[in-house]
Amino acid sequence: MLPTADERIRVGVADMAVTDESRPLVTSGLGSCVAVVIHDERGVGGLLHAMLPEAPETVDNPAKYVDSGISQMVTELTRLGGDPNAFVAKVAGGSSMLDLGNGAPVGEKNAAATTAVLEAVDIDLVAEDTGGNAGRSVSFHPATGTMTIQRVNADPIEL
Amino acid sequence: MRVDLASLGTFNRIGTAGAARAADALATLTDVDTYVETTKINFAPLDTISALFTDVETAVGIEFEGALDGHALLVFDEPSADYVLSHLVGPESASDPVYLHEVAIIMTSSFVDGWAELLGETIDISTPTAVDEPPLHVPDHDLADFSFVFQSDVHVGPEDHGCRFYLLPEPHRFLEVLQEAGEDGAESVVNVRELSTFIRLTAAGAETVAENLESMTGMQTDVAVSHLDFVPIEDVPGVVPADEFVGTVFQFSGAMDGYLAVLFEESAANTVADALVPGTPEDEALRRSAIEEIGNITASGFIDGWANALDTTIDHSVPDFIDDMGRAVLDSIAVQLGLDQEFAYVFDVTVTAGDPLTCRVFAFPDAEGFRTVVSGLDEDLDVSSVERV
Repeated sequence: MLPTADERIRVGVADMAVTDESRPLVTSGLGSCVAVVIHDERGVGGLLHAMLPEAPETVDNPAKYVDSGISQMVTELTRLGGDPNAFVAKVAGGSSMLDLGNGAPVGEKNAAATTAVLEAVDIDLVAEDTGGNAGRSVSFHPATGTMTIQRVNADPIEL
Repeated sequence: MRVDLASLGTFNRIGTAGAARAADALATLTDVDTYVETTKINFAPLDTISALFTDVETAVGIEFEGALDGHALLVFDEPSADYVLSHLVGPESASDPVYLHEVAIIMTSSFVDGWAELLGETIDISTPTAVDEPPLHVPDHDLADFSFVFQSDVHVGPEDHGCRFYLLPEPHRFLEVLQEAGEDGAESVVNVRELSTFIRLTAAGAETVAENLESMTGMQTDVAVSHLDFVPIEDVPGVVPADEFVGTVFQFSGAMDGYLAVLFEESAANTVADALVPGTPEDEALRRSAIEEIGNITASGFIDGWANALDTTIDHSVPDFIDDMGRAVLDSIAVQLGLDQEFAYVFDVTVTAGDPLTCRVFAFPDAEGFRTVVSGLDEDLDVSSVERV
């Protein structure tokens, strides 16, 4: 039976949640931000909604950054009983919706940082839907490992 | 009086932590999930503060006094009040709105206890009372033109229910506390009267935008709210729904850099485009062109007003057309701002045209440029004398 909306665990911007329950984790309105999910086969999983690629030296909120956020999520998943050797990851977001700023778009940097950090901590990135110029909302079912991505005026994508 | 705007960050962090504790407590009381959508500080003219309290049907007021004096207001629309009451755990006659008073006590305590701890003094709260007409409950401070209002939007349960919590510290004492908490000579120090002038200038820009929109579309327009918000970067996307919006985004640069977004709900965009170019609802290119033109007029209304008042130049980019999740659009702007700052100054303007057509305009000046520009303003400037498009 699919979980009801009542059972969703909502994840905000610069926020993270982990669970070993069958409740879906959801986050909405990804533009340049990335949603990174990590889980193992036993259904311990987490979702990170990170804004920026790299944390400064002192960090108030690790979930704001890709590197410190992934590090904290791995720690919390392990503490929850997840198997670090079985963790796999998926990522969505990092779009370039607007022609803003100078240099490489932050969305691209967020996606690249996610790939690099996951590689550094030896977690396989098994699926991704990044880049482009559309916003995304994400729901993730730790029990199945399915990440569903919704966009405006488009069919949902399942990773 | 000069205040260090950076010290607002301290109070906002306390407010954010307080709102999270309050939301957790509300979740315990109701046994449904709660979520703090955003916590921000509004800086607004006193005569416009009542406009913050829109769509209020059930409200509870509490007064507090001690290290800081002021009022708190917890407001629900009727369906949300019914939803919370029907989910309260324990009480047998839970349909009695008096049980919302308990919620108000917890929310107020969660906020002011953090402030009291920071200030090393106590803050006591009064017994809650039902408030029939919240706008009339706003304190009348005849000595201050502007006031700070803390606002937390709390989402309750899986549907579209929630409440808004407002905390209105007495403005003079709060300014003193801000001054004491700030750093003398910090680059973030501004004169409050100059800041007020800048907000009046922006409000006048909003009026110009509304007039231009009216003359272009033939629809009667009005500016519903115009104020400055001080928002943690990560809370910026939450100031709009995740729904689809159509509009334009501009980048501006010069004496002050930043971004400006003009967003219509999808149905409103169609209505406006049809008013501007009647009879062509299926022509996507014309619809886009109409929305971009409205964006151009809106951007000029704000940005040229700022530049002319300062006798300087602020350029803006061509419009970047968007038709996407409103929250994702602001997410992209917040990320860009977040490269250099932890808090955003946000001018949040709601222009209504006809009924129920709403246009949201957000201006996000960069923090450093904003402080420089505010400090360069004549605090006695007659904003009506500023030339506009």
